[in-house]
Amino acid sequence: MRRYCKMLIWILTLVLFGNSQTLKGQESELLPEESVYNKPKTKFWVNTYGKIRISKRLYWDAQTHFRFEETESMPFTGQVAQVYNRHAIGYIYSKEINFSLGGVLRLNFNTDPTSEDRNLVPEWRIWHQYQFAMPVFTAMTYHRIRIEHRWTQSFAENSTYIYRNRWRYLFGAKIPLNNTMLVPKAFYIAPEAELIMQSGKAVVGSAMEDLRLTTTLGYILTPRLTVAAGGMYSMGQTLQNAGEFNQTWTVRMHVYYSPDFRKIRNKLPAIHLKD
Amino acid sequence: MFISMKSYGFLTVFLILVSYPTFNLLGQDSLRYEGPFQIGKYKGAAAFTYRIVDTDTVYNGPFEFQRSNLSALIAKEDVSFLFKGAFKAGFPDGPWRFQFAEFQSNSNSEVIDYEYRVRVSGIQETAAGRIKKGKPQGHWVYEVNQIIDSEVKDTLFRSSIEFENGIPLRSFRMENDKSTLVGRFLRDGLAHDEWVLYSNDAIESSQSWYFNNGRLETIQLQKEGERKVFDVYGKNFKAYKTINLDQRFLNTLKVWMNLSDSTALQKGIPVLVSENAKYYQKLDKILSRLGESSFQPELKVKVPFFPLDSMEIAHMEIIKKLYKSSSIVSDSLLSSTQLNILKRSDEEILFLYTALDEISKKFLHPLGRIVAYDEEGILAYMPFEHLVAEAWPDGFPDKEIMISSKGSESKAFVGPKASQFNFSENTFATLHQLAEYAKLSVDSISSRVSPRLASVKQRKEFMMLEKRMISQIQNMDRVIDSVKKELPSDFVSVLDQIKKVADSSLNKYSNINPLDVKMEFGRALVNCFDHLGKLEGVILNLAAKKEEIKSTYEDEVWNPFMANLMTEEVKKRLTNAYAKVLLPYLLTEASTNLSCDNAATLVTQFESTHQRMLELRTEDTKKLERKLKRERDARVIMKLFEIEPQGKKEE
Repeated sequence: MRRYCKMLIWILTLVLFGNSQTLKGQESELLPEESVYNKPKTKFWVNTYGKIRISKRLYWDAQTHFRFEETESMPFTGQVAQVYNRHAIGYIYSKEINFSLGGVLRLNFNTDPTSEDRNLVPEWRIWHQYQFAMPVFTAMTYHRIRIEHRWTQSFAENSTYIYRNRWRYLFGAKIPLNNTMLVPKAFYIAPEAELIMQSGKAVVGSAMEDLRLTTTLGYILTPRLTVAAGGMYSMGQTLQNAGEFNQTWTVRMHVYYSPDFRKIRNKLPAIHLKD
Repeated sequence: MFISMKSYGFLTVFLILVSYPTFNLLGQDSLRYEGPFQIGKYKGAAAFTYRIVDTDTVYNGPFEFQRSNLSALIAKEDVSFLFKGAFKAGFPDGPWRFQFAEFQSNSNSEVIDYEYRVRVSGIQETAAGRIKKGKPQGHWVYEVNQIIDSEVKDTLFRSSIEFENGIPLRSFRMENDKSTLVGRFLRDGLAHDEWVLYSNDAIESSQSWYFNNGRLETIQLQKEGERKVFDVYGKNFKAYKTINLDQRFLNTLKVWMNLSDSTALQKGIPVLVSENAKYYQKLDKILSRLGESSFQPELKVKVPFFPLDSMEIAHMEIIKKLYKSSSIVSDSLLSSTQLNILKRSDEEILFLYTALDEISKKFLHPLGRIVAYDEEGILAYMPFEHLVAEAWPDGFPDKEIMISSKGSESKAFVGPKASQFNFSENTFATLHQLAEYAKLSVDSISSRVSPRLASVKQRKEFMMLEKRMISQIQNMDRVIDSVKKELPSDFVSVLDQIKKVADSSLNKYSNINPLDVKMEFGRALVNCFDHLGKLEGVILNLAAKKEEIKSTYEDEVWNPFMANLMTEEVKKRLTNAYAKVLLPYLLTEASTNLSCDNAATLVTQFESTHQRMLELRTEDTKKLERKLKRERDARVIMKLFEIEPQGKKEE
């Protein structure tokens, strides 16, 4: 356990270090007198999370998210904003610890009704993640460190990709409500807080990209299928101006599925990973 | 072991030399014997002198007979005895001492001077006194002591009695670990004055018998300050007879005092008196084998005497005969397993059986008491009215015996020739009539049920079969009743059905008439009950078996989102087919179509289904699972599972 703690501290240090570097290049003249908080946008996310077991230690992490946001006439689900594909190969180190590495293709739709630019642009990422789970009483708590290398472009015609790094730390818990354990037929409540920092040449002062505070209510249908729904508040500095903050309210719906198509005979020894 | 092997060997040699019979001439006609000897169960070494008179051995002179075994004592325990005294012309005469002991040793020994000493624990009985012409004379003490580590720990019994020519005199004292009895006799051995029994642990509790010249007048029981006085005979009677104070006397007392609870009486004075008698009898047995003796201390009492006249004696003789023959018939019918089974299904048999039971209770048992008193020889010591009141507390029974039965109105049983009998008078002649009426009734019942019963030859086999059946069915009933509440209703309905099938088969059995067919059916039924019993076992275990299948078909899977292990049901189509189709089908079969013919098959089906489910867990069942989709027919599923739907036919 000590090893993982060290690793965790190291990664956290890296995140903070990266953060302090971006502060150096701040340009002060654009900053307003006081922070400006933009009116919150409302969004609606439907997220599917798949973890498909492919061997004793490896799984395929397949996530597809459909993200909607408000239009003037319609809050939350007014228009499609992004379709988001995240894939990775995960490595199960132990019941509580796993790592993954993969790529993201995000399709960003132009949601500005006044814009005459392109309607759809792709966004590319390489990501790696380190997740540590800890049982606490009847609940499970999770530390998730996710690092993303991100190439984005604006909707403007012939715009070039900018490169940024994202440093994400999530702390969450899943607390069973009607059971002493997270088992099938259990409802659980899952509060989460995730801080997303960013760095890169294009990032001037706006180090805190997003702070997401989420709470979902989940229900475990089977060991392989869970559904959840909840709400999220988030806020973060805009890339253009560090003194300006975007805010959102998001309704989130989640489906978690983890099929295992291996033959039973191969499955059996994989139950207990470390004993 | 404190004796070395060497000296042990020497001891054996010595014993062999000593035990070799050595007869010596002593004087002119006295002979001496030293060697092995046996009196009844006592075997040991004896040394005595004797004479030969007309080829008979007549003991004369000192006598010693004893046994003790050191190696037995050390190994486990030793039963030893010592009889020491003298004879005079064949009669025990002079001071005598008897000693019986059962000792164990803890095997620790110590050497003191030139002796090895071993401490012993056990019980020792000692009797010592003088004998004159075979009868106790003077002061005799009989003591039973508990010995622990060679010391007297407790006196379990002690009696001290003064004898004159075998007759107890003056005061005596008997005590055991619970109570002490003190009393006195007149010169002729008759109990006299107050006999008091003190309890050793409760000072206030005592029992006093007041005798007047042998006649017991009052009994006073005192317990925790409460005093009860019984006037034994109530008034004076013309004639009295002197008898021994023994169990027979106590039996007369019971009738006289009409005590429903005679335990207070039984526990007190009689216990000590009979305990003492038992010990004296032991000595008497030994002495009477050696020569003439009468060693019973005769504690005498006087009881009212009502001699029977010749007519009454003649009545009693006939009553005895009638009672004996009818009670043999009635007892054998009442305990007949066949009849007990028959009465479950046959109204008439039930009626006759109940009537017989009533006759047995109301006529035969009371007559039996009178007969027993007669055989004990105490009939004449009790007035007739007391006897009748004791045997028939509610008066003589009616000739008409009302039998009430479930559901229908009560019906009367009337014996043959009922009009010729009259039970109104309180005389021996009436007892005679009662006995005769009972005999006629029992015989008539017997003649009516006997054709339904098997011959003597077959009876034994029927009895064995029926005993077995009854115990099987009772076992099933008992188990079913005890678990019913805890089981789900579909299980219970199977158990009920098992019970129903067993009961109805038994009914069918009892109604079968040709005996050879009945025997055949009975044998099959025992077999059937075995299967039903097994099926019952299957049902009782089914919950556990279901649980076993459930846990067999569970798998632990790692949930990547929760990062924990969860239990997952696997091969759900199989478990569903098992729990939702096969088991309900088998349970329904068992609770609706169960019979003696398919009980064994059902047991096999339950068992092989379970077995097959255990096997299928590890088999590749992809195809099977596909075929099971939407299949609801248990028979098809059994075929798919490769369970033989008929099960194995049991031979």
